[in-house]
Amino acid sequence: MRLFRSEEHAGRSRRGDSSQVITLDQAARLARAWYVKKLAPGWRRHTVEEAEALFAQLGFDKDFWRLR
Amino acid sequence: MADDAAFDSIVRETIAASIRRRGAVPTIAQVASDIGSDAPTVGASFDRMIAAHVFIPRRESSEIYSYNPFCAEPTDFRVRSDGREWWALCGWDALGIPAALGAAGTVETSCADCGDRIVIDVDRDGTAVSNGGAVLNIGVRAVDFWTDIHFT
Repeated sequence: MRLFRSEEHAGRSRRGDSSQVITLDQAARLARAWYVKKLAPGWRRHTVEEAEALFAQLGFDKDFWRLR
Repeated sequence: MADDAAFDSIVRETIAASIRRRGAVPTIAQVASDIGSDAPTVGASFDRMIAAHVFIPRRESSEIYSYNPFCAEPTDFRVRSDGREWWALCGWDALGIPAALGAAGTVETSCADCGDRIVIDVDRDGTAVSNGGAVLNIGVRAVDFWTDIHFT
């Protein structure tokens, strides 16, 4: 999951159609939601349902981000 | 087994505490020492966590390569946060390090297309601002993230 200067730059390096570009704001919100509790006591992995709900909340493409 | 689950929980929390205290991802030996156990017992716990996708192991090893978002060795994604220097495997993880530490931070990497230096400042509340634009490319569908995690 690489960072690019812009969507145009990402497009030049795209291999096939199995990739998607998200904005920096979306990426930062995803990263925060995903990892904010990682070092906290009692941390556990997100369930599939929780993860898919988070992806939907962030406005991600449902088919690309489905987990099952 | 319930005993394994309880032990694995202790091991996970010891890994997390070690990252905070040492500023680095611990080895099996370090975790065993921290909790007064032995390496084979902690190694078995690591193996259960690898099977459950709790962390990414080094190739052909049970040692941690990345207790995401914290990578055990230098990568192309350097993060300065909470007074220390950290490393991440990808852009998603790099942006997650300040969040995991509950601190602000700065991500430094380069555009995977043109090599231009990308610097992203992340506030304590998670707001991210880059020095001229940045987007994150997700290279595989979510359902395939763990098919080849070292590629992902």
